[in-house]
Amino acid sequence: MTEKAKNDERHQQILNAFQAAIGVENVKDNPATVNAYFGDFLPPKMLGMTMPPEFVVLPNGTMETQAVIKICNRYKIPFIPVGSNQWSLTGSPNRPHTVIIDCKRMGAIHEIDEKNMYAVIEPLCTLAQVQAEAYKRGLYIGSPEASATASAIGGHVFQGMWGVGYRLGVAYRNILGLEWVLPNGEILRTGSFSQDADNGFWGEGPGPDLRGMLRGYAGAMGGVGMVTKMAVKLHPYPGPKVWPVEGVIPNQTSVLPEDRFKWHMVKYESLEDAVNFMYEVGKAEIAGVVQKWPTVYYIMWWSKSCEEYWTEWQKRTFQDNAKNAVGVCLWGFTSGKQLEYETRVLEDIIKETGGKPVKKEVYDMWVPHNANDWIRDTHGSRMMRASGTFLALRLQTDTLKYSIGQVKTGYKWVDKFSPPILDSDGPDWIGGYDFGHFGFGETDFPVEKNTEAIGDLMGKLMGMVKEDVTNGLENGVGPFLGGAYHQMAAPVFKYDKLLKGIKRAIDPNRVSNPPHQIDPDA
Amino acid sequence: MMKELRDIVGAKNVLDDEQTLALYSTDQTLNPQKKPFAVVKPKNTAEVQKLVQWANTTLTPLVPASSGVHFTGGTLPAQGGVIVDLSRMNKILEIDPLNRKAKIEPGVTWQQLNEALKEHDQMALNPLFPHPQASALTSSVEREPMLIPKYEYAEPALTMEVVLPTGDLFVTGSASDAHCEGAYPEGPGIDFWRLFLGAQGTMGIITWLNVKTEYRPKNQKAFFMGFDCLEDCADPIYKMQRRHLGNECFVLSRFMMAQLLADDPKDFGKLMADLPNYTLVLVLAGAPRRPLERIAYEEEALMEIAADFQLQPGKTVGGIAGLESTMLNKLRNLSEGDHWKTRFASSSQEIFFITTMDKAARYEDMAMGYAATYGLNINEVGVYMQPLERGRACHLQFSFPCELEDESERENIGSLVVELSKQLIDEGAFFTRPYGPWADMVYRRSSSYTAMLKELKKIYDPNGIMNPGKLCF
Ligand SMILES: Cc1cc2nc3c(=O)[nH]c(=O)nc-3n(C[C@H](O)[C@H](O)[C@H](O)COP(=O)(O)OP(=O)(O)OC[C@H]3O[C@@H](n4cnc5c(N)ncnc54)[C@H](O)[C@@H]3O)c2cc1C
Repeated sequence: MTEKAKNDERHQQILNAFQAAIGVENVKDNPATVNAYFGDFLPPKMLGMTMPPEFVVLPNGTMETQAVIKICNRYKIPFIPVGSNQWSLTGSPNRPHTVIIDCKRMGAIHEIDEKNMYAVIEPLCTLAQVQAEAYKRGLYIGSPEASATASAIGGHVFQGMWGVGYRLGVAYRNILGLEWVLPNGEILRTGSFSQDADNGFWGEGPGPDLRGMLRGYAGAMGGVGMVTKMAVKLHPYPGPKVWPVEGVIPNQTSVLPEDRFKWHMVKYESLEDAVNFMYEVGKAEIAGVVQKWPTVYYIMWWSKSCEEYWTEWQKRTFQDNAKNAVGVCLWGFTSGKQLEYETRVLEDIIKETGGKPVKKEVYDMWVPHNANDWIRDTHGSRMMRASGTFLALRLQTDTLKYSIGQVKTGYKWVDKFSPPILDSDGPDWIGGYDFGHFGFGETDFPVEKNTEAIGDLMGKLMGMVKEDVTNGLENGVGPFLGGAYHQMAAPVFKYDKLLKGIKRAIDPNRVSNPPHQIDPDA
Repeated sequence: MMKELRDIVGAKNVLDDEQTLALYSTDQTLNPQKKPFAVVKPKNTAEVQKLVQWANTTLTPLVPASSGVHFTGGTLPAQGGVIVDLSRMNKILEIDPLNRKAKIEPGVTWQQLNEALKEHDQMALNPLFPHPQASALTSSVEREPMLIPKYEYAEPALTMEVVLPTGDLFVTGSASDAHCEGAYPEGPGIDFWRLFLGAQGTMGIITWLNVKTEYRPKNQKAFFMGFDCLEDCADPIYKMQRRHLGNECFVLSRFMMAQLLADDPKDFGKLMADLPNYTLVLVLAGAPRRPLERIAYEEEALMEIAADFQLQPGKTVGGIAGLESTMLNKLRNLSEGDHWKTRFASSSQEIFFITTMDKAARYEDMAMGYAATYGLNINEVGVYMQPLERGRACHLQFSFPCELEDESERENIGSLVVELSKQLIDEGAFFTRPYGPWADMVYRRSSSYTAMLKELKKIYDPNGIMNPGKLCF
């Protein structure tokens, strides 16, 4: 038998197995389908992604997902679970015979417990979908800048840093009970699901909390199996039952009721002053969102086309008027009087810290059109506006103060690698979380989208990550690259034995999106 | 062996006299006595590491203990071995008011932490009137519920240093990176920190912890609302929490309130006569800026909710004089002297679990039914309901006074606790912190979770030396 014939026979055998398990119509191996799962928002061939998957399978529910994963184990072929596949950097195949497990048939919201504020969802449910249901009940769930069209489970197992996380919780704490098919095909139920598969209201335990294996600072990149059901926290929301939208895409505005929501845009001379203001706001326990956007964000989210982006860039409206500005959205959870109280407190702080309101014309451009994207992001794809892609050099979470140094280091790298990094005006995004208990900083920028330039830049980025790790810097951009990073960082930060041990135990055949989260054999 | 231990921690820090061993063989629970063969008191992480390395070579169980106050059975050496008493590691390594956190060693007590934080206008997120000598680190790590449900989080633990059961040193979260300030718990790699919480010392010995702190309110007002039954408390609390009202918010039954307030035992009888069956305590607290204005709008909203439920939040219940200032004082200054929970009997046997407030009354009925069947006076059963995470869940606790010296009472209450716990678990009560006899009841119901925990334990602790016999290990 020739190699090709052997491969064909094996392909057929696996196809038959999948079809028997989940139905003929739910297994795809035709080129039109499989090629759609190849590549990402960077040009292809980044991070070793050189081939389309062999199969795309669409199981429905935990048991069918288990069957698929067991088949992958039997034939020792890799699989990748995907949500809405926005982080396609790690959701595209990097080795032959890969199976993509697409969740398109798992879109149910099983339950919304209004009183006890949680929802039980399947992987296809988007954050927008969960939000829409939550609003009707006076409840809320966050959405990342990737946009509310991201899978709610995908967003939660990945990073889940969002604007309202300042007051209403970040993703790692939103995750309650999980139903989770491990890489070896075993079903793990965590939190209260472990005792009662129908009741996911509580996330931890019993005893040590196995949610700890699901993700870290960035997700596990599909390296720990597939979550098929998740109970997620919902949060109190004083807004309308339906998200307010006026106008037609791309010129929509969203204005929330003024007696309960009010955006303030306060400008400072320096980044340090802006961050000091963010601390004071947190210390006063006011506001629902506190964000210091980089000027590229203003332009990205504002512009309706690439041309408009660069025209706006040259006009310098945002660079001149919103550099080092902080957006603060006050929320009246308790009553309109809370909003009035918080306004007075904010005014005191602005006066004390020497802040100035941004110009009215700039406020009027940004607030009705885009500021509420930090409550419900409907324009995340605009991040690709300037050049068709974007990259980040620094992403870290620790104190707000620590963010300053990190983004400033990011500026230097941006300058060093420009071009292909395009003009970006010191891209420093800093968000406050948990009333300022911690902060998140990121340097995002547009970059020329061609294979050669980005390939070269990615090489430099990896070099920089290596240098960081050598210097004991853990919390940079590295974790977002998954396995390639952990391989380097794990021995330095002393988690290699534990992480490799866990991966070996749950993934004996190394089938769950290798080399993520780490390659235990390397 | 004793010589080796003395070499590690110094002769005077190795104790094996009968009296000391007896002290560590029992605690406030009714769990069977278990005797260690030595108690050692390391003074720093290096000594802890050496002890763990020694335990791996000699295959000796190690049981970490942070304070001398134990209510759960977690520090009883189920398979003998050595108690690692961490009370000498009692430094507050850092108080960081800017980022609102404190870095503490295991021997730091609640009282010590609270006093130190006062100087920085901060306060710790402590559980219900903790024993002043109890370890603040253990309390956070063992996930004791916070009294303040207004934050979305119910877990003040941030980052930590752990001596793993293999003797390796490991630092979690952003503290793993020496450039950072240890404010963020995730990473390095995965959310390892979660695997050390609720672990009863089976996954390693934590040698320091960064915990969140919050502003100590300058102005505050306590409100009390009396209820005949627990069921009636739930809906008003749901409403208050949805509207972000108040700092501390909790419900105590008459017996628990009377125990708490009876600083002078003579007052106990009168308190029992005067107090309502249940008291909801809600503290409206001012933020650092314009504190009175915040209290004012919150009070207005509280009164609106109260009117809907025909409640009258007041400065006292049952006509108890000075209740507001007594309560605020107890909340902000942990008391010296006898612990309130043991004022009525020499111990308080407790059952606690997580549920939702709409189910609490059903569990309370069950507890009272069992108490009556076992011949207890149901007025002397303590009930504590702690709303968590803005009221979306609650910690529910029943307590049964028990004279430790009275053999028949021990037997009766011991059997009540076991039987009632079984029933509660059958009915959906979630025992997230399965101490003593609960471990088997809980883990036998969750085969996949248990199997995974055992796999993890093998990775962390290949020789099984850390606190064996606890949880499912
Ligand atoms: C333009 C842009 C902006 C972004 N901004 C932000 C931001 O501000 N904040 C933030 O937090 N994130 C941000 N991200 C990252 C973003 O959160 C994630 O890309 C997105 O939310 C993940 O959802 P998804 O469904 O698209 O995940 P996918 O891309 O489908 O999956 C992400 C990873 O998780 C794995 N995965 C997916 N589903 C499951 C499952 N059910 N079980 C187990 N593993 C699974 C996949 O294998 C993959 O490796 C941004 C991304 C982009 C492209």
